Amino acid sequence: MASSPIADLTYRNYDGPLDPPVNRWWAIAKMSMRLSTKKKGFWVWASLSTFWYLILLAVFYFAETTATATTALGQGNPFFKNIVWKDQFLNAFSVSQLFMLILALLLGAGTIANDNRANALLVYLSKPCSKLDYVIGKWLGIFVPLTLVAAVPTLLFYVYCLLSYRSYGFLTQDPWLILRLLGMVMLPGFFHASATLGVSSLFQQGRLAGATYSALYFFGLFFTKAMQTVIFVNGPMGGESTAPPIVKSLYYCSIDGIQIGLAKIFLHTDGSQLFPGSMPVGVRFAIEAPSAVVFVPAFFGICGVFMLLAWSRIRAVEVVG
Amino acid sequence: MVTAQNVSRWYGQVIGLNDITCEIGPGITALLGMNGAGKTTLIRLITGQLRPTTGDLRVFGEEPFANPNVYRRLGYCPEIDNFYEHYTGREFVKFLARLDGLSKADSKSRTEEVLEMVGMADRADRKIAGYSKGMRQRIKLAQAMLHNPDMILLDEPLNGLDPVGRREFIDILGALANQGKAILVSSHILFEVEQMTRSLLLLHRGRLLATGDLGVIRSLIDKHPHQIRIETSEPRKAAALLASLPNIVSMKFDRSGDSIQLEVREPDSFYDALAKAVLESDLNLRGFSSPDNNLESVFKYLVEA
Repeated sequence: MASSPIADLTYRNYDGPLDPPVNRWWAIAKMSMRLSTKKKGFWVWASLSTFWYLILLAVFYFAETTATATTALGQGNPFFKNIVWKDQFLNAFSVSQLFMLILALLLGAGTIANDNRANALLVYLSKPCSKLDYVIGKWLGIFVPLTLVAAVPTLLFYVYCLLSYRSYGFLTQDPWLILRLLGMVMLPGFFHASATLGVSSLFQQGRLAGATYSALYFFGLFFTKAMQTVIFVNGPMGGESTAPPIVKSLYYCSIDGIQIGLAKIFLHTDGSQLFPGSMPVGVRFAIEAPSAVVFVPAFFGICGVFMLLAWSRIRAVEVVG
Repeated sequence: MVTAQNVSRWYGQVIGLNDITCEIGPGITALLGMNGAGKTTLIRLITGQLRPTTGDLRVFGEEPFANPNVYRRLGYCPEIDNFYEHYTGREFVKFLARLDGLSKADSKSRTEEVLEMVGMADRADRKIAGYSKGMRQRIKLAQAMLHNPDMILLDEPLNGLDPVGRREFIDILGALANQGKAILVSSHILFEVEQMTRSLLLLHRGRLLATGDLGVIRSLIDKHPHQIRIETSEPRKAAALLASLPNIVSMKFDRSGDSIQLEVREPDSFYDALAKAVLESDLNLRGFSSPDNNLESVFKYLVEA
């Protein structure tokens, strides 16, 4: 290479093949994912999101070591005999919601807003890729990392339980649990990718988009907690709550509420206490799963609206000033 | 390669381009106009990012708006350069090579090739955030050349380049044009454009003011009286001398008394005569300038014409 700033003025043509204009979204998705995984924050928050599984592992370990006497008599460990396995996954899923939000903000809030600010769309859309390629690519760039963050600890924990607790009905309680879990772990990625993309497209600064999405999340959370209070005030200890059914549905009307509700639908459970035996017998800890007929279409409808918003907002506009 | 028939583009109540009819073929064509003239709008129409409000625009015989078949034959080097600050130059170009449709292996080798062509191969592993304006221009040109496009559009490509870099950039554009490619370069600096090409599209407030050879446009301009200011310590001697020269329309002394304002026709022949006269009479000239040698004056002349 010569030392001249422009070394070679002979233009060399590229005469190799050009792929037809399909699957451009994958190049965009890969670039987004590569960028995400370069962020230290991604690894920190992704690691923190697994903490509930680590607590469960510790609890299981202590339950095993402290109950060796009864186990030796062939009666089995009462802790594991009473456990509802799928609920442990549901609890871990619920607890990780806040971390998922933080990750979604980290990966998704600036995804279109920063491109708007930098006018990068001018370059993207002058290539043989369509708006749809761009939206799908950006969506996958958020969806894939978030899904992996949710899936890896869940599946590792599943394998651990499968190897260790088959004698306690891990497999027989629900033989299809693995498929249900695969559906469940995609929920945060699906929702957050769609929603952050939609919100991000409204702004030209990632921070503003992030702040708006956080506000939506916490406002919804506040609403959810209010509904939860109404439910428990009307018959919290043991009996069925006398709160109207609409309140139980409204409980799921928040960003994490709708995901938890759908996770309950996928897992076919209402949930139970965090640890088996930690509540008096008969006490109903969990709020029943929402109606699948309403919530499944609602979930995908909301995601679709956000995606449509993103699609309609994307245009190669130069920011002035 | 590009044909525009009565193309207009409105932004709400504001008109960006007004009834443009022109053709752009192989070689370098300069799109000249002041800020807000409609240069970027025309480039965006050609690159299919905008749709004309009225009129018919064809690029390679097809409508360019949202048409990947057209995009595949275009290379676009936008004016903006603040994107992907956190990527390295090499990552950025390679990513866009993938978007252009090159295979993984080809995108890698082609990226190296174009980076070398624009003289960035040894600096492409630095993050774009640390690049100078000139380096950004080179990276943008590199990404525009990736897929061997038939037409390359460059929006203010010489901004921020030092004189040497500017010369080299112009040379590389010349090399591309010699390959039979169409190069459309927008600029608002007449002098810059004159070094690149003789073929011009002159835009002013959204209208196509003139099109064709620079020489023709120049001669059109030269038909109008051209203002020249001469600074001298001997204004009366200078005036006597200048009065004998051809093409002088008017002459007046400045209030300060040390300069003369002239109006001349055909300035090129006047300049030749002036140089000869000054040398022969040993006139002491301190300064010499033409306030009309800027784009605004060019437009003024053309509008009046």
